[in-house]
Amino acid sequence: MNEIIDILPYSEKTVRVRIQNANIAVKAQPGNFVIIKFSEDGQRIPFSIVATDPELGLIDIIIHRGDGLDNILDILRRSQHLPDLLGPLGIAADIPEGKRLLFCGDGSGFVPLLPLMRTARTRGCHVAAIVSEFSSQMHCLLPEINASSDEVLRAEEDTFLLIASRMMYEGKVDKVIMSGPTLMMKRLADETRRQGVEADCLLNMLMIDGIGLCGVCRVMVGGERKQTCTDGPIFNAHLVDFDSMLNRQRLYE
Amino acid sequence: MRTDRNETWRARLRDEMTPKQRTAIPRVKMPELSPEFRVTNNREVSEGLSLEQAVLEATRCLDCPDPGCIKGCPVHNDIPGFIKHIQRRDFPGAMKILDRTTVLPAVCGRVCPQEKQCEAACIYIKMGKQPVAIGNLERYAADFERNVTNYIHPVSEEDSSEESQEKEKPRHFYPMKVAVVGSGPSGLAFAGDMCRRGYHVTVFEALSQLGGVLKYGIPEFCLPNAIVDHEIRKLKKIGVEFRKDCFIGRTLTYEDLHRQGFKGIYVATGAGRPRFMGIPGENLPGVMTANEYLIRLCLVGPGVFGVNGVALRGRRVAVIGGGNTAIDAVRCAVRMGAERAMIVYRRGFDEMPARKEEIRHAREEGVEFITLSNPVEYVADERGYLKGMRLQKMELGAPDESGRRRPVEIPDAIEEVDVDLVVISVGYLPNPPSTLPGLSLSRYGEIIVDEESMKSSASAIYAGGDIVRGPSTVILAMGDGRKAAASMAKAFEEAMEQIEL
Repeated sequence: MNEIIDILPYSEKTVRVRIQNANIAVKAQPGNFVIIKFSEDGQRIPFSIVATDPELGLIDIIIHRGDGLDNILDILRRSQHLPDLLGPLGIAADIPEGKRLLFCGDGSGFVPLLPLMRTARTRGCHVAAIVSEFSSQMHCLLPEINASSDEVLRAEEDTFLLIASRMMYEGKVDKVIMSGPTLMMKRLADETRRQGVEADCLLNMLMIDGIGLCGVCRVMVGGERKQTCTDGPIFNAHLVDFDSMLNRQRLYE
Repeated sequence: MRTDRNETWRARLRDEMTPKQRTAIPRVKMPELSPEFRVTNNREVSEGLSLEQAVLEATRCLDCPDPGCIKGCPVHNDIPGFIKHIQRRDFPGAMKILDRTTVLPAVCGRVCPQEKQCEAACIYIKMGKQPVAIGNLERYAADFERNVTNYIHPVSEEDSSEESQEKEKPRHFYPMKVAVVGSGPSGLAFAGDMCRRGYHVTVFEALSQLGGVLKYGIPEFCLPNAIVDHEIRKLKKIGVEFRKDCFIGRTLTYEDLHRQGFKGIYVATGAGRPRFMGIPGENLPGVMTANEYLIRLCLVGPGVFGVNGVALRGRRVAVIGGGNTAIDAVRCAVRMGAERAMIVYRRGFDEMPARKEEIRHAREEGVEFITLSNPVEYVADERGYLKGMRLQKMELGAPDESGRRRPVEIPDAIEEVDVDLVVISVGYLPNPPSTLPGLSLSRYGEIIVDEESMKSSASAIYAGGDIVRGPSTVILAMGDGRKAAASMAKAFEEAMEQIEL
């Protein structure tokens, strides 16, 4: 179990890792994640499940150098068995049928969005994506984003909000689904609220146990305390208190 | 389950000394590391009795004809029985007696609130003397067995494959498979009992380490992880199977378990979801739950301080609450080098629910107790980090439904205290997700069971421990596990009798 079947390098900094775990592959839904320990005494790190093959019992995750994961990429080997792999965790995304969806994110933000986009298309949604070039990870993800969208718009940090805002204003968007840096999500959430467009955000929080014990991933949603690991990772972006999230995240930087 | 008090050796042992001579012996004092030394490291504070101490303490036991201690023990250990074996230096014999009723003697000897259970019912109390140190003796017997086993079969830390070689041939009399959800004390007790009764038992654990709260919630200096591992290894030897990283409800559903042929399920998922007080500032950086604090220290880097320690180090640390978890957390803070390690508790010192021994240890280690104080707000500095807490001063009013005097606010009595780290330890809620179709839950999410059989409203599902009773103790959780095992086994046996050929 938990054997690394394949390591596909996207770039010097980013790899896609294919892991064998039949239970997780069968159960995983878009929006779910796993928690991995790469060595016996290592940290527990959450990763979005980006793709599954239920028949072969495989799941794919994407690991990006940086994010404190530098040495992990160096020790990963094919046919190695991961000591711990827990999942699928989190509540699955609720993807509507036949709607016009706008996905927004920076590079690593799109990693968890990919399975949502694929599912949305199979449900007859029109999938548009705005990708901002905040990170180098974008480059290697673009082919996949292109493959699962009807329309891809590229933006810079300063034009990003403008483009999204215009699309909503022109009535081209039923719902926005976002993932990325907290500040970016906060601004975009404000804009969707202003324009009265539904919006979900997929939060990427630090986690320790991932099963609701530690409370480190807690976030206020509509005045209620929620845990990203057991109640999320997807929340109504109009209700998330991004300010207190921004404040909390600094402690662990 | 009581042994024969009138066996020749035991009667002779009683005649060796008069009760008067026995009661004249003062209670033996458990050797402990000095406070100055122990705060510099993570070593177990109580060092355990020496052989001679254990025998002397065992001599104090009067071997009463109608022992109250057994009734005071939630799992009804045969206390005089094992103690008298210690007195005659038959330590394996003592362990054999304990093994019949408990799977975690080394753990219970350390973390049970004996002063409220067995020792509270000891005849010495009635005489106005200190009770027999039952907990210390239980620990002695278990530690003796473990030390001997480890001497004969040294275990390398990670080599679990080796264990399978030395596995005794499991005696599975029955074809039925039963599943246990959660590897904490309740699940382990259930698993041990069911396996000894001859059923195939598999324990599922969501975390990467087995032992549940015994591992993630109790620090090394109170309960070394190696002791929990030993108890688990013993269960593996008798044939219990364990599967870690398997979150029932997610990785496998309850339906999957049924489909895989499990005929009975015991749910012992515990109560570890942290409670908050709902006051301003609880989400500030610098405010964390006791679980976050303890998991980072106990589980992420067991025994290693400094790893993941950046956010965990505070010059002034306040732990909110007065339970065992709060005391554990504040003693961790002392060991992390805090200048001020404080307990903030809304009732008085005497009302604190933590074990008395733990409170004494904390006191010796320099922990400050700010009692009759309740935080009303955590205050941030200009950068948004925690810098202080506002405490509402309280006084004690009339007793509430728990029998303890209710704390009442003193108007306008607010105190501000500077802190760098606040650890919240004000209780726990049942672990999510405990829901499955057809299961009745309480308002807070505890599973409702029949108190006699521990059977839930869903067919073939039993439950016990904190998921049923809310935050409680290791020993009560174990007691539930044993009760559930007995009634599930009875249900199986009745069903088998129905089979006609």
